Amino acid sequence: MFDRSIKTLIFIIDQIDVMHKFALTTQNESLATSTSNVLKIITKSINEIGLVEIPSLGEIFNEEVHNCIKAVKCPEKRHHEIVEVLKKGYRLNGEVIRPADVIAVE
Amino acid sequence: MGRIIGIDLGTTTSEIAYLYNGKPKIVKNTEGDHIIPSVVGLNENNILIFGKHAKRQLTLAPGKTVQEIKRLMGSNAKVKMGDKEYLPQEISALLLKYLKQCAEEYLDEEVEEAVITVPAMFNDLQRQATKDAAFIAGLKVERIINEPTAAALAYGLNNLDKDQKVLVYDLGGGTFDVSILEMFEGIMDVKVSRGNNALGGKDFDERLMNYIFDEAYRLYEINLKKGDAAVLQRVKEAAESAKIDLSSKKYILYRL
Repeated sequence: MFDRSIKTLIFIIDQIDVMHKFALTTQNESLATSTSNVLKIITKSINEIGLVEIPSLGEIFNEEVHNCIKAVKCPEKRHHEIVEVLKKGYRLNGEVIRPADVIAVE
Repeated sequence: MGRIIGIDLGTTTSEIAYLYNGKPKIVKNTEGDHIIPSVVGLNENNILIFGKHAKRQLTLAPGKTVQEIKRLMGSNAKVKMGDKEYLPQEISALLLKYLKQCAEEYLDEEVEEAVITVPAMFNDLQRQATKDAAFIAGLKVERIINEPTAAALAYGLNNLDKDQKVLVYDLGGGTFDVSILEMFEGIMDVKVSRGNNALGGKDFDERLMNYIFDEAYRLYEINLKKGDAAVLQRVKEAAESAKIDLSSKKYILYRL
């Protein structure tokens, strides 16, 4: 039951992430700021229950916590550097419960 | 003497089982998974990695990751992983060694023997290559069992009173086999086995993905196929979840 609740919680955060990504593509700054603030509040709250986002963007790919969906060529970035996070990864009390889906440099 | 384990060394995934109070019980690896991708790789630091960890780097480091080695068993094909070339049974041995280790950690005791399943269509060379792989991995092969026979055993079909024929469907991640087993006086014999090496769950996923693409275009004139990696990944996940859910439900609703 607990596992299911956590999965549901992550699913909800995923949807808000999608909304935030969309907000960033619009010219509406207040919308982007609002969704960003919502995510900050959510992040703080989930951290309090031991659910922590796995750092990914700008990190070097690590198969323990990242899942590469696409590899791209990007000479100005480091080998295996993560250039985009498609879906955030999470740890619960230190244990990886979902790796982050990422795009990394070949 | 150590415990004997059963290994389903699959093309796409592998599973380990052991007998507990006379009944098969599935072994979980240290990550709690009982289905382990049959993938081997070398990570950034050239350390061997297995299962889901190796699978995660498949797209990023295809030259350092090997999957579906079962298809090459019995051949002399050389498989490159990192800077080194391997025979198929050597790669398979790495995987078997990892599975042995998973079983030992789970059972907290040494495992020296295994029963390994192979497709009924496997020829002598392929069976020998599987035995060689087990030997390299430090496992004594107690027996090689045909996969349909193992499936029939798992369903307790060997306990039926009547002598009869049984049809076994084995729909895996990447392969599909159909076998007819004949049972008489407690003996199970594979009479015939045919299959398609390029048909499995993955193809169902692909068909469902295409269905989603077509419907999105038909109903909303949105070409999801041309979407970015995030869009394609969402469709892929939805298709796979739909396949699983539709195995037990008549209808499902997915919001992409």
